[in-house]
Amino acid sequence: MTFSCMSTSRKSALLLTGLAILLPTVMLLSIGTGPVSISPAEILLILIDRMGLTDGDIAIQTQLIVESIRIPRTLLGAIIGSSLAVSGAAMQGLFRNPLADPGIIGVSSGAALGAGVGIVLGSFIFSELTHPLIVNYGVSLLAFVGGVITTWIVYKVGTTPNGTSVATMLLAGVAIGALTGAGLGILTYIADDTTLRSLTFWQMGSLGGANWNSVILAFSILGPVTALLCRYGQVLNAMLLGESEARHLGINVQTTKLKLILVTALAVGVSVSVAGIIGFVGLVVPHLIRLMVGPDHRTLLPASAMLGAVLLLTADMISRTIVSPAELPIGIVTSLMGAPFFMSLLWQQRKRIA
Amino acid sequence: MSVSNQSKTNSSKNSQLEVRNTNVRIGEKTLLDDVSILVKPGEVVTVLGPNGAGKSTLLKVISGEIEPTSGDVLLNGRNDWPLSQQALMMGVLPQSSSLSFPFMVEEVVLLGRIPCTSDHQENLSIVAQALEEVDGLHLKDRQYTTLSGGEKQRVHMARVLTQIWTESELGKRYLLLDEPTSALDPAHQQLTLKMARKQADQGVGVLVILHDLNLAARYSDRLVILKEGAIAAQGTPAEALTRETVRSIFDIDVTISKHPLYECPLVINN
Repeated sequence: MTFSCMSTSRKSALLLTGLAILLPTVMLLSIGTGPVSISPAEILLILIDRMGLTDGDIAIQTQLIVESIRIPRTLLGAIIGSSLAVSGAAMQGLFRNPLADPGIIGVSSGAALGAGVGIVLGSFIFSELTHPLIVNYGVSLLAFVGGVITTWIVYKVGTTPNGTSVATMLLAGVAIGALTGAGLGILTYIADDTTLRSLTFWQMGSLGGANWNSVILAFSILGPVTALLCRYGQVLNAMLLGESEARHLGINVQTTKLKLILVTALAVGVSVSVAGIIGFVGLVVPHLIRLMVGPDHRTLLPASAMLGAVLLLTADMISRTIVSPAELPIGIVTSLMGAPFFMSLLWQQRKRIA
Repeated sequence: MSVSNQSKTNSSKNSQLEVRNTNVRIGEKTLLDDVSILVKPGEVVTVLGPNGAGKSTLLKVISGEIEPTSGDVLLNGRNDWPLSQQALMMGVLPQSSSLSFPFMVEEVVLLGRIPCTSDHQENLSIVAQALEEVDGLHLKDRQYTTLSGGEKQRVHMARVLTQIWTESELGKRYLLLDEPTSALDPAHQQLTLKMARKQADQGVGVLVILHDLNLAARYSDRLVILKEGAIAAQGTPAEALTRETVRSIFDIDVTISKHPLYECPLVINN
């Protein structure tokens, strides 16, 4: 039996199993990839050694690379890829439009402006609170606020009882992009050298800043958020029918919308605050899953979470190796892969309308 | 004696759908003007009226989508059901649906079972039976977005049927249909109304909005005719459909005769 003639539920089960195997494999690869190549066997030895099970003889240097650089970076990439993809899937369900993506509709840039305000003006705002965790959380909070405001605007402007119009949504994204661009421009103008570097880094996206602090921050917020979003499967399925239909099916639409907007904005805000703007993951991943198993959110959300992690880790491996020993910001890699994909989606849509 | 009478009245009040002196005003405009309607389990009540008469507004008030300016809607005696419980007693078919994601037809119909707690196998069997009711079983494995307008309408009909397929412990069930035949060919129009009749015979209260006077006359127990937000005529089809009412409400000249085959009036355009 080939994949295409299986029943949807069997396809879903197969896909989820496949991804559950693929994700740890890619994580191992990601830990092993870089200027110093480390084999999966060595990584496993280090992990086992850490748990105090054996007394392995591994070079201190390798151990250090794995523990303080590669593992945090891999974990960060995985959780950010997951939450971006899940947020994209949830937003597409909420907007009833498969082209909604946090990057395209301006949510990421709104969050980036929030983060930028935190980075540049942070030293004025919380000058006494110098602990990196507190500063990180402060920046995340502002990114979240920026994300909520932009999501709300796009939602209000673009959504009618018949779903969201692509044109309105994209135009809203353009307007918000211009506005946040101006805001970030002002911040760039007044920033000093150090903050200027982080601002630029924020706008291109990178996992290069990964350390255990950012991993803890990301997991403490994005972990629960991703898990929470995955539970909205059936509700989002009902929402696809339309808001009044969802209501007739017993769903409190107003509360659901509010929760989803807040939660997705939190996910995007935190992702942006730790890794900058990483575009197109939220668009491409749910789309690929829908092509394979259809739009049922009960599969779409968890599958997107796993594939999002796989895809972002792959992009990160490319960003680390393609101009080695230097590093290409990951946002550039995902945009290089995602933008043509997005264009092809628009092309298909154009043909459908015509 | 009096006590048992009392409880009997109560229990019948607790199993009906009642719209009581309902007004809906938006700004200066009155959309519904002191409308009272009763739908009992086992009846098909049809709402007729020209465009803009307030038919859909009435349906939205009953389903709770619009809060009435004054008046009350009592579903089995209560106006404060939680949405999740209301969904077990009331299925609503809107005029059109905006679903644009490529679900399979079976998945769309299965969405109707969201409020219910039954297991997946049972749900699948209900979905198949509901599709059979709307002559849509052959569409089961088609992709929803590739269907024609009429086929989509029947699929949503099946979805709404699955929602109230099983009896609820909470109370009697009701089906609200907003122009369920608007996209259908004549054969499927008949089929849909027969299906509504069958649901009523199984104890469901059916409220349906139609434009076709003869379909309404043939399949309804009672007609409610709205004009400019108010009830202009109501009663059995024979009582409500007179030459004068049809002329004054719909502005068309008709002859009303007796249907040669059934006990209902037949409306002939002059």
